[in-house]
Amino acid sequence: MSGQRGTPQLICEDLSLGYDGETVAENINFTVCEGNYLCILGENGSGKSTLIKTLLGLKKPIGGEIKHCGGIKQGDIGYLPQQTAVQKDFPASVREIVYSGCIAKCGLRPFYSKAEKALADEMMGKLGITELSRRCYRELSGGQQQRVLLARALCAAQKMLLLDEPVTGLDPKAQADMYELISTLNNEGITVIMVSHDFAAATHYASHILHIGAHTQLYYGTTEGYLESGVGTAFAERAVSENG
Amino acid sequence: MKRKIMFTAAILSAALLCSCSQNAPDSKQQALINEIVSDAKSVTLATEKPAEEAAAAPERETTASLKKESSEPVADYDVDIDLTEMNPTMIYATVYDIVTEPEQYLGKTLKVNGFFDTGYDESLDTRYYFVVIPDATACCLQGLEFKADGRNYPDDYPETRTDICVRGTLDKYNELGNDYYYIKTDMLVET
Amino acid sequence: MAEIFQKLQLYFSYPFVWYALIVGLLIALCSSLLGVTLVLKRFSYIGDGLSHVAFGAMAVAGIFGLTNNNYIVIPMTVISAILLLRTGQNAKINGDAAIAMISVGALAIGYLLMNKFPSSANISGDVCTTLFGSTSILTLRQDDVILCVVMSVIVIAAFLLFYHKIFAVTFDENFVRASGVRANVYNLVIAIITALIIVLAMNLVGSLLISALIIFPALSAMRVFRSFKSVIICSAIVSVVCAGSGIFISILSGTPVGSTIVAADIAVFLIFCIISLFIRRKA
Repeated sequence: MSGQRGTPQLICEDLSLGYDGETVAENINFTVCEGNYLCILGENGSGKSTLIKTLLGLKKPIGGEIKHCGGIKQGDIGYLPQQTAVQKDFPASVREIVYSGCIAKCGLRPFYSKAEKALADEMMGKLGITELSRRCYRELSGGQQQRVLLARALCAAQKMLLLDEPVTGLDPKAQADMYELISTLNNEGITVIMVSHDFAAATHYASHILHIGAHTQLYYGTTEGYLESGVGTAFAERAVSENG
Repeated sequence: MKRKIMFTAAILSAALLCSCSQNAPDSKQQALINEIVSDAKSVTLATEKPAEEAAAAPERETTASLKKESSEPVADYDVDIDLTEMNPTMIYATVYDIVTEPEQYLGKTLKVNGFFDTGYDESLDTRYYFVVIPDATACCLQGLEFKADGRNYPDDYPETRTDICVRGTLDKYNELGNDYYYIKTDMLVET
Repeated sequence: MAEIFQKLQLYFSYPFVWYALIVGLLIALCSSLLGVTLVLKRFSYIGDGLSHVAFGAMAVAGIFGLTNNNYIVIPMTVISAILLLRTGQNAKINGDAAIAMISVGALAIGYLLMNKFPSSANISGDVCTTLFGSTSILTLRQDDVILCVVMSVIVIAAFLLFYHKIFAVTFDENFVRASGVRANVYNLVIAIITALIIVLAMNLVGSLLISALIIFPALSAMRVFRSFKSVIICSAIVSVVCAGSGIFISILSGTPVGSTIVAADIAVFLIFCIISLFIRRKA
């Protein structure tokens, strides 16, 4: 957990999010700097997924703007989406899936270059899944599948990762492994933005917290500040009581 | 629900099958075939019938004996296209090909099973003879015209809708500026 | 055995049998390639839906009495394919409900139009042939074959060129979009290729059986093989072998071509199911 360091990469100013003309959340203001570990917290329906889609450029913001700087362009964010049922049962080898992370680099070229394949192999090595490269994706455990998708995300972009609830459906050991892995990547200098439900993990690993709720931004700042804020303590109590 | 609708639609359309004719390239033959086919359901040879029956009876005896051995002048030979040995799928496809690309088959000998039918054009005072070939489901009919020299209608011809076997060579004639293709028959027996 | 050989030799002296085989194998190849993608995108019914639209389009083409129906059928089918494969994302009408609506509507209105504006003397025969493809593959003319070859080459070329993109879009469309690649373009390519294949395949197996041609080879391959590439290759081989043997069996024993091919597909699927049981037990 480190404080603010490095150059700003993503600046959101007075962002208003929504779709079909409906505003879901407004007055979103935050900055993500290089090496940050930002965790986005909020109830279901608070606008977290809309925020992600907007950050990725899949949706246009209703108001305000997103500035990219520090070497990051739109599309330079490695995305780890939530898995669909279709994917869990997909007949593809791990290698094919990780290679597909390089799809944007190919342009119109119908095949992957040596460099792209080498990058994919490197990422698989980094995440410890090289022995799995020929295995069929649907035969892997939940944790292994997430690592494959993470490798794919790293192939797409090496500087910033956006993870959408990466531990959903994993057993506690796999969850812990995943968080450790993400933390390691963050320590190596990769900026991490993670959407999560998991209050405990978020406050343990993240350097910054963005809490969205009630159609607006409830808190943005360091994790320490969050834990001391009113919002943070209220959320903490609720989390504790829910977890028994 | 969607499956049920489709299934019902399929069954209904199959049930609506009626005998009708294949699109022949010649309009005249097409018209005649249409006529034959619409008559086929309610065949009434009316005034011709008694005479035909009397004529047909002895004819049937003689032609029946022709089934096994041919008393026709031409002896049995290997035809180029023997449709009597083919299965219904191939028969349909081959006859279709003959009807649509007749030039390729000119001069070839063929032997075909089907049923007999005939039509008369008053304006030209000509009678036409056909061997009609149904497909496996009797859903589609195709017809080939044939001419058998030395025969008189109705004595030397079988009754309409009788099963026959026709053997001959594909030839063509010209009528009113159009080419028509027909089987120049050297053997016609009832089967 | 020698008899069968002789018969085959005789049959293959007819050009229309060669045409049937060439077209049959090409169509089987193209539809199997696409089948894998469509099954994985949960669009297995699209074959049905689009073939009914093509049927309706043929009825409309009959009204205009064109020499070649394909000038109307292909554009209408392509447009419907684009509409159907796009509504999956928009979900105002859900994907499968949209397919059902369009497909049944086209079938009903097509048959209505065919009865009102008959383009031939034999409506029921034409309907029967279009729905079941009993002998239409054996009655192809040379220009039909040329058209089919050209379209197949286009389809196969497109598939090879865009193979990786098609894989990526099938596996995870959201990720592809987030990477900055225009996923919509590739969805469009898939939609157009699907429409072309279905119009072609109606000649081979008829409307009602097209889904089988698309689905079965893909499902058979997916039971046993473990990488996308091997699934595609296996699916193609299965489809071509089944189509070829289906055509042979049908001309030798007089069974309708379309149903025979589908029967072969089903048999192979069952075989692959059994094989997969053994493989699972070993692993």
